Amino acid sequence: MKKFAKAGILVLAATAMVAAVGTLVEKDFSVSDPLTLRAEDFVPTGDIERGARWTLTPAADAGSNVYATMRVQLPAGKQDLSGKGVYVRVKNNTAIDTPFLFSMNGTNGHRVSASKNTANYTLFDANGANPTSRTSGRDWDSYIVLPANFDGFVYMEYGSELISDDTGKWPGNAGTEMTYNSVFALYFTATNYYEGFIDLSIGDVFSDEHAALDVSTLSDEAFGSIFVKDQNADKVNIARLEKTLTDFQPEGDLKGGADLSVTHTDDDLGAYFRFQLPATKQDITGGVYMRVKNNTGKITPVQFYVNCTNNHRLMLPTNADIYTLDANGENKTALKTREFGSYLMIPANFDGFLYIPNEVLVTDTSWAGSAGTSATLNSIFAFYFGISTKYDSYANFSIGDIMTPTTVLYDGSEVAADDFAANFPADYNGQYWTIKQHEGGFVPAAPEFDYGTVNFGDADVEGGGHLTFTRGEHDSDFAGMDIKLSSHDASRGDALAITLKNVSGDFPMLLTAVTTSGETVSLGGASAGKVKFVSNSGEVTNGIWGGNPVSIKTPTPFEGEMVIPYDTFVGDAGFSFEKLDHININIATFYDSGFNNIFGDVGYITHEDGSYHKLLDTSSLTEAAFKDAFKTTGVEGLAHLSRYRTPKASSWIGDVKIIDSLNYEDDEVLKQNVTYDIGDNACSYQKSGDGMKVHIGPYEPEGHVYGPYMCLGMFDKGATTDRKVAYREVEGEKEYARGITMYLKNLSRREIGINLQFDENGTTAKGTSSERWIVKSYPANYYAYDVVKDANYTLYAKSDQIQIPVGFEGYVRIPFESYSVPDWCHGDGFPGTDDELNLDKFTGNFFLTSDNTRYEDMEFFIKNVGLYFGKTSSGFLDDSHTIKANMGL
Amino acid sequence: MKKQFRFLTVLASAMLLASCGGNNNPAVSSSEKPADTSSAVSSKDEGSSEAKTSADDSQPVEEKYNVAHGTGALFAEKEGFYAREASVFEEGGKRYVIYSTNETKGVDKVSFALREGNKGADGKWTYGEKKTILSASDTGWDKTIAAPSVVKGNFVKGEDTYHYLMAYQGNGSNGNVANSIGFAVAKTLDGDWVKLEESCNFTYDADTYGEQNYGYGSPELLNLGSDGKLVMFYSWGETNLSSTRAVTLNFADLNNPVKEKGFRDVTVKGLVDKGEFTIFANAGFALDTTDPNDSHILVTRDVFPLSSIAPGHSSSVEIAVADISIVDDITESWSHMGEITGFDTVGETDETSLGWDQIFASTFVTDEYGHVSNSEHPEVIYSACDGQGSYESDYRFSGFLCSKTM
Repeated sequence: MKKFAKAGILVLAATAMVAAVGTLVEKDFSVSDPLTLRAEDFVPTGDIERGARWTLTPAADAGSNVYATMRVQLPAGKQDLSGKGVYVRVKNNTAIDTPFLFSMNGTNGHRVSASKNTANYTLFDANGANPTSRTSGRDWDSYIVLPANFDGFVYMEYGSELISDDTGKWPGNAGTEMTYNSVFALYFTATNYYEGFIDLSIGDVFSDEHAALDVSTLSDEAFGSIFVKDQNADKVNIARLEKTLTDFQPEGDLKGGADLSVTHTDDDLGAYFRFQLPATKQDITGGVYMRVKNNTGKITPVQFYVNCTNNHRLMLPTNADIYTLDANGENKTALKTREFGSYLMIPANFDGFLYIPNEVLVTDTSWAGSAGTSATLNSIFAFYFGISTKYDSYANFSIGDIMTPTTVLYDGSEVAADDFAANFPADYNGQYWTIKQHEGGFVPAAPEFDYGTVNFGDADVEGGGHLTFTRGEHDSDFAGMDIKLSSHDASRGDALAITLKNVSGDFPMLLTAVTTSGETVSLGGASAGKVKFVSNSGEVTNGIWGGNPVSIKTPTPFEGEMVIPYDTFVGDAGFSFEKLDHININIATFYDSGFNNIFGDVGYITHEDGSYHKLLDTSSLTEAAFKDAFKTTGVEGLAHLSRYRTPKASSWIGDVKIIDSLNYEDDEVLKQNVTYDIGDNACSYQKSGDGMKVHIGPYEPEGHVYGPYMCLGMFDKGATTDRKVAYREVEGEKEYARGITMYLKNLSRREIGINLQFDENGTTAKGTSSERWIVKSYPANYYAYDVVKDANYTLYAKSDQIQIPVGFEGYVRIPFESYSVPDWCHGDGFPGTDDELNLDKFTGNFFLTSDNTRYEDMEFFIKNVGLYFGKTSSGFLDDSHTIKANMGL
Repeated sequence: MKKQFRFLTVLASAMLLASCGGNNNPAVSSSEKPADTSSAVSSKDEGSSEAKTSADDSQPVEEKYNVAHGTGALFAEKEGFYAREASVFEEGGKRYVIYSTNETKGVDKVSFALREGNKGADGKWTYGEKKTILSASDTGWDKTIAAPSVVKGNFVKGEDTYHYLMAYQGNGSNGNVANSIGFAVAKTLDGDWVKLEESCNFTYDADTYGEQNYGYGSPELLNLGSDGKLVMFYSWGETNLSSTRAVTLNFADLNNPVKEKGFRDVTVKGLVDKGEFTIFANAGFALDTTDPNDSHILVTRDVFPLSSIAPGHSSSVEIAVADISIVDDITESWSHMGEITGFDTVGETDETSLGWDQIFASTFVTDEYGHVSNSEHPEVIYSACDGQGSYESDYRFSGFLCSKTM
């Protein structure tokens, strides 16, 4: 076997040309002559995609040289290759004329091989045209020599180009004939020292009469059983070719890409930069698409190489087709590579995509790293770009997004300026390149100001406006509240802060800021995500948005600051935070009348130093000033505004938990907390000392729907849940209250009957409703202690009233056993009534009633309404459980 | 003894000492009609002599005694005299009955009498002559008196130590309204009884409660210990309420008598009345402190509603027991023990008798301190009388004190 030079470009010394059947003509591979070997005009067609890529592991030295074989095992039922000859779809992936041995075995063991040193095969291009007779030029063994970069079909005619070896070399031939209609396999063999560079792709196999192997239809499992490592299998490498995604339409732009220009030198220097593939995106299966723009009106040749991570280098072959697509990724058009070297020939003024199919790439054998390595298309290190600083220094182009059909290798819009250089580093003579990031790169958002770090000081809702609503009749019924600020200059701030407490669900509100001259701004659509809620515990949450106009929902439950950056407001151009007059809160009452929020202090936050400054301090407002600052707006009668006072945490006197001390600041505050439930004129009441004085009025039938009773309600406003807790913890156990207590003083000269009723959130299988508990009629009884006389009593209720004895002043205790649910609290309207007192459902709501017909003009004082917990006695046997003892009076 | 059938006629205005709750309840608290002092009719009966007591040898032969036509009578008063509302205790082997009776034959004006009883070998008690120990005043708060209750203790006033304290009901009219409770002390039961100053009284406040309410009545004194601490139960009647109340007293130092400023409406839970609402009044009490850790209190009380037949007392009494804490704890409850009705008082030989018409004002036989040692089978002393009939003699003087052991 003659040896070929191992290194460098293989130069074929001799060719043979076949002029006619049986006549061998020495032929130069570079010459194409019409072939007359075949009688029919059979045009071969076949795929190479999904076929096999056959390479060998090169031997280190001649002494290690071995023959290594890939066997193409025809599957059963696909073994008929009868006809005039066999076609094999092949591609030479190297720029080297590549010889290999070719044989075929019949299923009977008979072997035929390529003839020696004759015009023993014909080449067709990839379109099945331009047949060219070839001969290996080798007078030993059965070689076929594929030209460098060949991509097409090899045809061997039976009997003349594929012939039996009758020398006895193949023992199977003795006594047998080749069965072309029953072919076992095709064999591709080469030596791994002398042909260690071999890199062939094998596709379809067929005859002019039968198709035997269609590689595009093979499953991976079938492929593995067809393309088999045979002789010296450990030296044989077989990889399945990937399908070329020819229908991929790239999308990409130049944003954040590389703007490239070159410094001219008088010397012809090759200056290089590279695109560094990310470590996690190194697979270029399917080919490479690059968004490119030529900023000059001249064709710009740019050298292009692809380095694999194993240092194997690939290049563009000369006069090979790569492709361009327009900026929309359409109109794929072939673009020739340069006639020498490895060049991208970027068209003048080009603005689109360059597509480099993997199949185009060939091994750069001049690169030292290519020796002894194979291409790893799924593990690429970088793309190298080079230019002549002398001849092509006019180059000025941009490379934008780079991708394969499945993976974006580079998206400049996601690359920040600080990270850009690492993607397009200068390489050899790189100092002659000017590499800049194209506009549109990633600009990180400025870090959000952390409102959780702001010290809001004593900002609270104390003394603020408690806003509730009645449902409007129309969906256009809006109502709300203006909050007028005490200070108006918020210009030094960056965000508005409104202290609020939500005691309802997350109902949306519209919010408008108004200047002293009437300009307004409101929450804008861009505000989404920017408005923050900072709870009193410092937790920061985003505001919940919705609707048009834009509204904000307060988290529920919530108490803290609603922070609105100034830049979220949209509205009048003349608006200035320097003259901020008031804030308006507006609610769609038809939908959201359940809104129940308390608005307190208003201030602004300065980002520069994170400081907070008040514009309104509600706790410092006098009652008159509060009324000026907080006013309802919108449809009259739908918005309800009261001044909020933080309910005192329940205080205890001995075993008594005070639910409502009735000790309010003044009459106005008293009447915000103790309201008429029924019978508007049935009584009058006012602050008196540390409690409340009640005057029982006359019975006026017209004003009393429910009977001749006055009724004052002491309700839980929802601002605290402590008053609903009817138990206390004793050694880890719940100890429930035993009854209701209050302090009473008879201010009249007759005994006075009253009833202190309370509600339970009654729940049964039928539903939930308020279950009212009232003092039973006689013989319901209760305890009393006169603090002035130091006298204990147990007393009977009369009718449904407990009695405040004449001259009495002190505490009464009514055990729950003396309570019952009245008749009117039963029936369909009260599904929650079950006549079972469940103190876990205690509402903390009380109703103070008295019979106007019997106690008209009577007066009494009341305070410290609450629950008592201790066992109580009248002190008959001992005084350890008297009211006095239990309360520590 | 032959019982007579009584045709029950309904008379108006029986005393009702309670309200029924709610706005629409009928007006309450009509007072008992004043006793008609103009007639003096004694009961006639052809009954047996079982209930006869030994007559006073000094009386004229023609003097007659009331004859009990029910069972259990302790003794018989002479004709024209009644016996009711007793306070009964045993001391030193003797039994002492202090009770309301009239001083003058046929005149319905109460004074308090004492009879001493001795127990015979057959276990039956026989009682001696009665002695008037305390009379109503001519004027003042106790022109009319009733319902004595006596308890033993030590009550010191100056250099005198009195051993018996009496509480009694009185009013300044001849009726039964605006009653107060006053006190008297004696060194011996049959000795001089000294009425205490009115400052010790539980005085009815007509200004506050009106002129026509019952006020304080039917006191029952029990001694809680040797330190002079007493408990007094009493009936209280006002507009819309009748109740039995308990207060503590300490009269050990009569110069500084201590009356508890407060009071307790004793619970009615567990008591059984005939009407919709339980009225707790006219009650007697006893303590069983045999086991200091399990002390009980007994009650015997008129069952309401009262009879509609004059004199309009109850027609039965109820006996119940409870833990002593019931006085203190309004969530406690009485346990019904039994009842004494007219049927219980039918004589064994009386085939046609219906027993006593009206059974009321009951008490227990206790020791001198108001205690019993057997709360399971207490002896109840109750008042019994005839009701007004179409043919009877003056029913007002038909009253007997009777006994039943539960």
